[in-house]
Amino acid sequence: MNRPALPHNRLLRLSDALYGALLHAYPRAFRREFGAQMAQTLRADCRRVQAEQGLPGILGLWVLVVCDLAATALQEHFSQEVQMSRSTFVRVAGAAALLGGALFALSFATHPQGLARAIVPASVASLIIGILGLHARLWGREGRLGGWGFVLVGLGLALGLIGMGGSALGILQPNPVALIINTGEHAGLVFIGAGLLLWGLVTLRERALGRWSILPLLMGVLSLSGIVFLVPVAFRALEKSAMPEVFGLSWMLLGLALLTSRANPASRPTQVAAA
Amino acid sequence: MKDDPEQLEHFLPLTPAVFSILLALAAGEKHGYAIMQEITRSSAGALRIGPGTLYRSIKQMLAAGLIKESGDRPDPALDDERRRYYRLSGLGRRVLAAEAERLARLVSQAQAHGLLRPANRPSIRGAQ
Repeated sequence: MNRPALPHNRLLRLSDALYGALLHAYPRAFRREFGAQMAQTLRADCRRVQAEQGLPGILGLWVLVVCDLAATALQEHFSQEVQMSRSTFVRVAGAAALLGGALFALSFATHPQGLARAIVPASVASLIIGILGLHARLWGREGRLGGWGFVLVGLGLALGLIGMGGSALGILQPNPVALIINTGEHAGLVFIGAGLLLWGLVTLRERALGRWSILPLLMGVLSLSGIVFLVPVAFRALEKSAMPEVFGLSWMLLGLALLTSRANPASRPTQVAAA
Repeated sequence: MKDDPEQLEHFLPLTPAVFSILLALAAGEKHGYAIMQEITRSSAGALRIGPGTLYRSIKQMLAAGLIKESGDRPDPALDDERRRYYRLSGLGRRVLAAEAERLARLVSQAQAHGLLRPANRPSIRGAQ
């Protein structure tokens, strides 16, 4: 009497074995976490479909399963790649901000001459990479406020890079537009401050840098002091004060924060929407 | 706990799979296969999700804090003790409500444009 049931059982065993093998299409971490549950779920569904519809039902179910597996395995690989490359980039950017801040502080502390002056544009270039790291950390959570922050900070750093690069390489000295470029460079500090202020609010709201989340807001306030460039005497006094070193130090701290803090997984709504 | 409405909006729109899973869990905690069955039942077979979509969505919803794994296990005599049960979190329930309201607004707009006739609304007719 049990004989007719044997092919069905064999079919279920075959389905089980095939799905177990196909689960290797998923990334290892995902498979370890959910593979057993997925196999158990399919097994239960196969039993139900077999009882209700027999072999045609099982075949129909397997068409759905294969399409589902192909699509979700690809999506899972892709999302892990993106997540991994983004977190790697955030760490690289953290190192760049650390280096950029140190070079910036060093350049103001030592007033390098000759070729050594290249550390000035090099420091700003590193800070730009650092700010891209903060952008990557806030990815998908910035909203309109963060979007404006990114534009302002980017503009400020670009102006700073042009001004400091030109000044360090000595190409501005005989140049009639030197005054315009220098003014732009100084205004750049204010743009950076305004942008970081907006980003600071987003970072705090999202707790994106853990216990360091207050840092961008403080850096914004610090950078906004650059508004005194409108009064040349006051700006020169600011440049001679400890403010540039403090500015560099704050970027070093941001670099450390990017290197050591972890992304808050609870704040990744875009991934759910994309599921 | 009250959420910033803008924060809830960040989660929207939900995909049909995520919305259906949250809806299936609204009635109480369930294991994966029970969620799958509930989705098929409530959609009258119109929506069927495979194990990959189900567990990928579960993984993302766990990470986003919309659902939680339940610590309670049923009596091993009644159910497979290896099964993992999931339940809605407070945030998940609020996001589900926000999405339902969003969809209701869309339905209202469709009705206002004459795209939905009363005959196309079996759930409303059935409720009367």
